[in-house]
Amino acid sequence: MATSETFQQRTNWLPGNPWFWMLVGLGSSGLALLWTRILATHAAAGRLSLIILGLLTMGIGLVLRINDSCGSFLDDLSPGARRAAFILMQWAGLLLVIAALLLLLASCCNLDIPWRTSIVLFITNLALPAGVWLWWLATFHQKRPSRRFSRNLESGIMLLLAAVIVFLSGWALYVTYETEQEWDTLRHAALLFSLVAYVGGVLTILPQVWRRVGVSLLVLLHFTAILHAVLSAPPAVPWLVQQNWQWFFRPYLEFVFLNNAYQFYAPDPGPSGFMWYRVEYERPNQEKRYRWVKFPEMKDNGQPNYLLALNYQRRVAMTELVARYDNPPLGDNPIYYWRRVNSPDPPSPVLGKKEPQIHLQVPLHPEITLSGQYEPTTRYFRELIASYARHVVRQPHPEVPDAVGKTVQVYRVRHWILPQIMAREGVGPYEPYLYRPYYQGKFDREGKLLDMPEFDNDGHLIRGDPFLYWLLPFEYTNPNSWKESAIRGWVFRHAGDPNWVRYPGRKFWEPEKSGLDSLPKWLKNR
Amino acid sequence: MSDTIPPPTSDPGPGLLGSLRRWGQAWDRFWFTPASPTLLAWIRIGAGLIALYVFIAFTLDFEEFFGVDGWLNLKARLEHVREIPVYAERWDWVQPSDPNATLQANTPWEVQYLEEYKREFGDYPPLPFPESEAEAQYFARYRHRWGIDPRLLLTQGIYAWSLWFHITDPIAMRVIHGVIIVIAFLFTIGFCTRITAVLTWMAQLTYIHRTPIILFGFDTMLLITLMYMMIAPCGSCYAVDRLLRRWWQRNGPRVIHHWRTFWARLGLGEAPNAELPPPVLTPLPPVQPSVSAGFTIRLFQVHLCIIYAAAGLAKLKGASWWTGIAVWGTLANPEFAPMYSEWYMTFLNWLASNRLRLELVLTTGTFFTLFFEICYPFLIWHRSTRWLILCMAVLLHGFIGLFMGLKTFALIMLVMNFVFLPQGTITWLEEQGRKLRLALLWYADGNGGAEGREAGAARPPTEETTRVGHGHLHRRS
Repeated sequence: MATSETFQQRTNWLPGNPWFWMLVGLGSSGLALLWTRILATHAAAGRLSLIILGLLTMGIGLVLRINDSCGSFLDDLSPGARRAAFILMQWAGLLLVIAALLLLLASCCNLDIPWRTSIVLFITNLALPAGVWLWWLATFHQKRPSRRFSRNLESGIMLLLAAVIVFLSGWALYVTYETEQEWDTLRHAALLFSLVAYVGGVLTILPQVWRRVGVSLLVLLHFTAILHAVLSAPPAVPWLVQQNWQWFFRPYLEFVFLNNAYQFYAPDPGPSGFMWYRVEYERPNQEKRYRWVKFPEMKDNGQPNYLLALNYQRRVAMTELVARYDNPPLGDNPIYYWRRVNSPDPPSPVLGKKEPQIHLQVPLHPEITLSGQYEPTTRYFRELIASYARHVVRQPHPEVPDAVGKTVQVYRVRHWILPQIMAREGVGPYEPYLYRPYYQGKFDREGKLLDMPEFDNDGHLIRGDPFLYWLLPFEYTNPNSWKESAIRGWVFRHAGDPNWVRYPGRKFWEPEKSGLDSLPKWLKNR
Repeated sequence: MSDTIPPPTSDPGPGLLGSLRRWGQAWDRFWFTPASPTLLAWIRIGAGLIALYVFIAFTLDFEEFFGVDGWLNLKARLEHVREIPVYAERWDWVQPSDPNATLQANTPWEVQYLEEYKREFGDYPPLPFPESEAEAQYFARYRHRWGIDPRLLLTQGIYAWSLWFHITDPIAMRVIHGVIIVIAFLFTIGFCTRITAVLTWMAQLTYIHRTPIILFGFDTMLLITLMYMMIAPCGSCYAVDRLLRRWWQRNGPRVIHHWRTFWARLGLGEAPNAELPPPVLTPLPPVQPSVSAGFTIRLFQVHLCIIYAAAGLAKLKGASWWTGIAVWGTLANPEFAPMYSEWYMTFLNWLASNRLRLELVLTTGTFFTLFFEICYPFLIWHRSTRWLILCMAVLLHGFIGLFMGLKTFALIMLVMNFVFLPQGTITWLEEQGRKLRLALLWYADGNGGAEGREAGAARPPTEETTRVGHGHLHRRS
């Protein structure tokens, strides 16, 4: 607890007075705003420095006030200084009212300010009563010099001042309508933080009982929002919850990233996956090179090849995120027809219809239904895959520095969990049978999809790859004995990799050898 | 915080009003009872160390995750943030594509617009008509891009914000990233905790909002912890702030004296008329319980209960949790379990070789998880079952850390579970820490030297303690 001597020293020592820091903050952010209005985008570093200075000094002022358990700093001033402080506060209140009204007028006149009229109206509705109240409070205390100015009141006013400082700092990031997108997300964040400071100031000023009521309401809102996030996870969402989430709670939950439903390993623990990329490079002499990039990167024994486990887990999260797909189409869709056409057992030609051209005869997976082998990635996640592809194709070739990535074929691979019965038989988790690759498309350097299949009105494939979003299985030539079976990796074949067969007892994938009796007739004849 | 809610201080009275008062008093006692901030300081240290590790780990993949051409390139991410459709159903039964709700075309242009839209998209456009050709093209472009007409939307974009949206120069990004690591370190050691807590939380959000594709459950938990640390007085103890307060109490008047003397020499102030004051040697008062500490602890506790309840109840949607084999999905997932390890595969093969053994282990593990998560919000509050639940938490999260490779997730969950440690245990642990410190000082100082005497230990500490009640300690001198 401070002694009276410490009180005297605290009052007279400027750096120990939070008002000093708050006023420096206000001046700094105001100057930053003025800087922007006058200099626009010139000397942006100066403007940003003023903003950072303003926010830091504001933080110091608030911390000094919160950490001091004694009375208000205003009460420690001399009577003359105290009176001057209250006059200043009166003017501040009036200025706040005038500024709010001017802002509203500017918005109605479509002047160049960074917020819509509805937001400005909201700001005005908050600033007007705050300004009026500040003016009234200062007048009240000015007329009653013997009345103590409570610590809570002082803290509350400082928080309101902090709201103004943050608001001005956000505004100072806006130059003009043409550059509206510069710093836009930080401007919105500043507005929301300003609102938080305002609410904090109001709560601090309230008497204890009402403060606790206010805090209790905020707690209820907070946990209601969290419960809405929990209940909003698909597939079954109550209509009311959905509406509340969309209309009321979404801004808060998204802003502070509390939008998680906490459904870990629900409904069932599922398989993880990989992304396999086959990148096509081109050298200046037109020579083409190819390289497989497997993501996440694993060592030969299956161990992650990363220094920190956390970095590996982040990559796993990236691959799991895009493993979501829409329900396959029902009924008689051209994609099913074209998949059967491109299999070893194509449908019979229809009389009078043009004979379909076979792209590549990839067998269907023997254990999954036809529609189950088609997993069209959801629209949003297709865009993510395009972004991944764009990143991969732009990476330099590790061994040929002058090779430039041109296109990349992307495969989303699901790595099935080893079934118990296979574990009992001593089958390892890296058996190709457990990998299920789905083709996601061929992309260029900009991430544009190049081979989306297009069909005419007759269901005839005009262009594109009919295997887009289809499973490209690993085929065992002898399903009764895996150890004696050659394995055909149709994903590699589809990608154009000549090394697509693994023979019994061999570790690596090789080109197909001729004269293999175990291959079916139709393959031997291709 | 007390292990039990303190009794009411006044009689609320009879009837409905009395009941309401009782509820109000109970609510007030639950949320606003003062508690010691010691626990929050420990959580601060744990969460701070984990946050520091996370930020340092980002350094290895900084360009890949946050660069302009990273895995989620900046252009694509900003398009999502600014334009992604946010659709809300109408509050009545009318569907947007209902022909009765569609507009009446009054001009030839409008008729043509209707027909062209139907040809392009297969259905009629929603209200209203575009005001210009440019607006019509914008609607069509948006629909091609996002699959929905923007006129059907509640709004566009999401409330995401990040420094990395706007600062893209690689050197500037690295410098700011370095500053963030320093801030996380300062938060961990408890320096300017009020400021560094807010900045650490903002930093975590800045990474999350820029690249949400790299996140998993661990990041959500860390963010929750950092968020509550912002309102907690977690720098009151076990913090550099407390050392600074002690230093300032001793030396503050001398510093101010020197400050005034300096400015007086420059002619910018009056010289201090008193001579240099001696250092103030009175000790700092002990850390007092505070309402904000109690409030934060309650927030944490309620949130943790919601997390476990949601996690447990969501699992009931899955068949494998009912059939008792769900745990196999974690034991045999090659991307998480250490299946590259020969001993682990040997263990799995051994487990699977006997069906009864396998089913016993899987079913026990599955129902243990379900029981723990679903019953957590009910049993954690009772003194008699709290330690059981906390031990189960250590077991479950230990398993997750060891056998699923999710060590950081396990750590943050254990740190969060600290919040249910009884006050008696906290006091006991502090006491053990004090004894250890005394003993170390005593032995380091050569058995009873000046430091040992200053610490109050003329001989090795041999205080006897007696356990009284449940978790409460009573010192017997």
